[in-house]
Amino acid sequence: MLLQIKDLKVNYAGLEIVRGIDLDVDKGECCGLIGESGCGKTTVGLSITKLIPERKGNILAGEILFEGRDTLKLTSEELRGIRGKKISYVFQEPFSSLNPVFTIYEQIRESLEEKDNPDARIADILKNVGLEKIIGRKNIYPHELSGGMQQRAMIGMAIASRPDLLVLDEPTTALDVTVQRQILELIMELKNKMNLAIIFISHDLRIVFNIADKIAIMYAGSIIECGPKGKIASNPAHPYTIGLIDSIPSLEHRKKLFNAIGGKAPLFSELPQGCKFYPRCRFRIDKCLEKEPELENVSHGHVSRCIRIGDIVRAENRHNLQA
Amino acid sequence: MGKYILKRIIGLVVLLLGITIITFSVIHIAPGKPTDLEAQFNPKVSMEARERISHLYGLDKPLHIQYIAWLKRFARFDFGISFMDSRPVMQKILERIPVTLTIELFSIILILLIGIPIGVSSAVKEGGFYDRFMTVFVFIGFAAPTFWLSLILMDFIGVRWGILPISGIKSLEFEKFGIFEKIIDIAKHLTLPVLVSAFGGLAGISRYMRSSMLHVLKQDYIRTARAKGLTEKEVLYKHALKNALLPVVTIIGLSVPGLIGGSVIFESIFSIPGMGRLFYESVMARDYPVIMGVLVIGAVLTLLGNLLADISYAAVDPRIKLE
Amino acid sequence: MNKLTWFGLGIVGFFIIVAIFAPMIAPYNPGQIDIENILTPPSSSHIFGTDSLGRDLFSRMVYGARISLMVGFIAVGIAAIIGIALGAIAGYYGKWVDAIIMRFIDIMLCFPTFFLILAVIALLEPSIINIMVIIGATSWMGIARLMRAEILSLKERDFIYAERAIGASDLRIIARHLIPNAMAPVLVSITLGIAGAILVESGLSFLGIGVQPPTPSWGNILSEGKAVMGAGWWMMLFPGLAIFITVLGYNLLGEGIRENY
Repeated sequence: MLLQIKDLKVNYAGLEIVRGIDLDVDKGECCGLIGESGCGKTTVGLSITKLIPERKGNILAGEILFEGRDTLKLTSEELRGIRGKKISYVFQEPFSSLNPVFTIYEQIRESLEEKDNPDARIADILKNVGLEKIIGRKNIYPHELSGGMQQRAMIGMAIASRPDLLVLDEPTTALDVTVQRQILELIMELKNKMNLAIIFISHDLRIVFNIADKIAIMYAGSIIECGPKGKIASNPAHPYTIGLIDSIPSLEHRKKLFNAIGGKAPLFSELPQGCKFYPRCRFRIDKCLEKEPELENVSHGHVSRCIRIGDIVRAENRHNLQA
Repeated sequence: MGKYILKRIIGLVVLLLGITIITFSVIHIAPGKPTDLEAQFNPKVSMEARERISHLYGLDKPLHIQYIAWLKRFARFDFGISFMDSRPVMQKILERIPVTLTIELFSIILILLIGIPIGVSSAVKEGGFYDRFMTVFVFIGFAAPTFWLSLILMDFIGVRWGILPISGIKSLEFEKFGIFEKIIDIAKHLTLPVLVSAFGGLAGISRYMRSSMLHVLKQDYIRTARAKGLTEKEVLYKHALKNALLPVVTIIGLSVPGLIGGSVIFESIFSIPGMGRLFYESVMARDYPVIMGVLVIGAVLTLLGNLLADISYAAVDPRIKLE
Repeated sequence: MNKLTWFGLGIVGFFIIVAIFAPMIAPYNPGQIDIENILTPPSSSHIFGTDSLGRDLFSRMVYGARISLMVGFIAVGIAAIIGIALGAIAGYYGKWVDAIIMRFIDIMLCFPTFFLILAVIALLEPSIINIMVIIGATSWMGIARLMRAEILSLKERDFIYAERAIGASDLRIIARHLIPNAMAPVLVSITLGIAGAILVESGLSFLGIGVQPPTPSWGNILSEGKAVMGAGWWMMLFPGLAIFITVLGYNLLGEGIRENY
């Protein structure tokens, strides 16, 4: 296993917004991390190399084993050996994530491994991310590129040091739909070529279904369902996942059994007792309020945090049969 | 670059016209004619001088003709002849400008050399003891009147301890000195004025630098730099500092009028033969042509300062299109 | 509010009380000359000492507070009226009105303010009223810019459209709805402006072009202190401290308001 997150708990701005997360990512595997904005998914991604701003948040508990070493216990010197070298990031807003006063060349050059010849390697990277146009043009600044090209440059920076793991935090959200497509294809191509492991953080289940091997769904700071893409798509076992799938317009051939999820995600300052999804759940019963459910096996490699898994799966099967 | 500068210069012409209109209005603010006023306040003003100024301002002609005449003289920098010694005003001003500009230049350098590091280090250690200490220092700097500060420095360093001279820019026996001694002598005379002139601006720049740096440190590209595994030094002093320094260029330009205005106070306290003291003496003597001349030149110097700041800003910020 | 803001408010309140109750606080007539006691250092009978005419420094400073605060308040009041009006007009009407007002502000900002003030004073006499008007007329630009920026963002809000829909006049919209909602940052600027005006007044008086003796002001007392440098440290210390502390108070209060709105 390349990366193992075990019982990660993170405090941010005085609130525990990651409340015990377990997640494994294998070499060459793409894991989608799904959730509404503010559910803690970005914080999970940043925690992997302790990138949470010190003043705002701190990691309360847990282990993050990368190639067997706990990154949470590393010194800042050792962390720098991992950040950008073995674990790279691509963030949501390419324009604000690139430093406006340094050239694209300079910003990629900073990420290179020492053994590489800068010019040759940068040309190689630019070719790999589809930026052939600016090869050799050393005085190009970020603002001179379109949003899609900026994100290509970000991806170029991320793969410059041949990492093992890419953390992509909503990498296509800020882009036009047509450009999204191209960027996703680029990511898939690089993943296969470089045997990259990827954590793909997104609020958009549709995109993740396209790209991920495995999907973990977060709600209010914890994972409520996790499993291989196929099982999640065909056999969702948590009311929240079902709601998410039903709200995908492109899968509308499914006869609507459940409407899209009503209500809003709870604030971390006022989490409900028991199951955190209770207030919005269509399957809720009084027993759900007693305590927060544990993750239970649905089938091999597929877990769900719901005490009514059996009822839900049966209801779903009946619905699928009817369809 | 050429087009940008051209555009700036057109804007400059508009401002210059505005300056002439305002100075022209100032002439007409007085309840009586300036000529009457001169005679009333300054017994030195002879009938001949009254006629001269009446002719100079064409006060017997209609307003628009007066203004056009004023504009013509302005274009030639012809501000008439001083009442005090009957010398051309422009000549008197030109004699004084180098001293004032030298002091301003040194104090701007001093302000930047001290203010920028203070601001940057406060921002980096935001909320810590050093930052709070510097905040208090800055408030003191904002509140301490320069003339009081000058008096205290004069009293202690000059009068009581006799460390530095407190009046003029050179000693009586200056002419007898060798070249090296001359430089030392002038440096000694300028130390206190430069310190005093710098003190007020120091608080402003360091505060500005602090908030600029704090703003930059919250930007996404700083997270990107950290995620790349750069050292904290590279993150702060390469990626953050360059961005934080850009707006300071503009601030230097904007601080020019304050510095020139402030020169009246410390030049008259330290008896420095600069533009500020010339202005003060002219105000006390109601030497009208000189007052108007210095007012206009002060505004023109401010304009040049702003223009210089804009051009430097365009030169250092790659986002500003120069073509 | 944090401790520093309270501290600033305390200073501001203290000096306002001193100014209001000056006749009750001052132990002597501030103009009473006493040739027997020229330049005596602080003592139990004259806690701040006496000046070069034997007048009680403490009493002069108490009355000086009146002058300094009055000049500060009225000058900034004038600046606020001009700045709020021009800023609101520029922001609300936009287009060429805005362009003209903004250019006017740019032009005013080209002049070193202290030069402009001195030039006008050279023409008029340095009476207290003239000084207040001149300081006010040369320090409204910052307020106008702030006001304009606030109005620009406010006028696109729904409640303004609603007002327009029910046929409210421009004046009513500007005066009743826009300006009150835009006051918070302007208030900060006004508070800091009082500090600035007090500094300018004392600077002018120090140079002998401001408040004219025998009327006491902190600035002209300091100027007398300069004349007796070396012979009367109290003449330099107390007025300087008074200016310094007052300005500090308004600055702290202004920053406090900025952080709290």
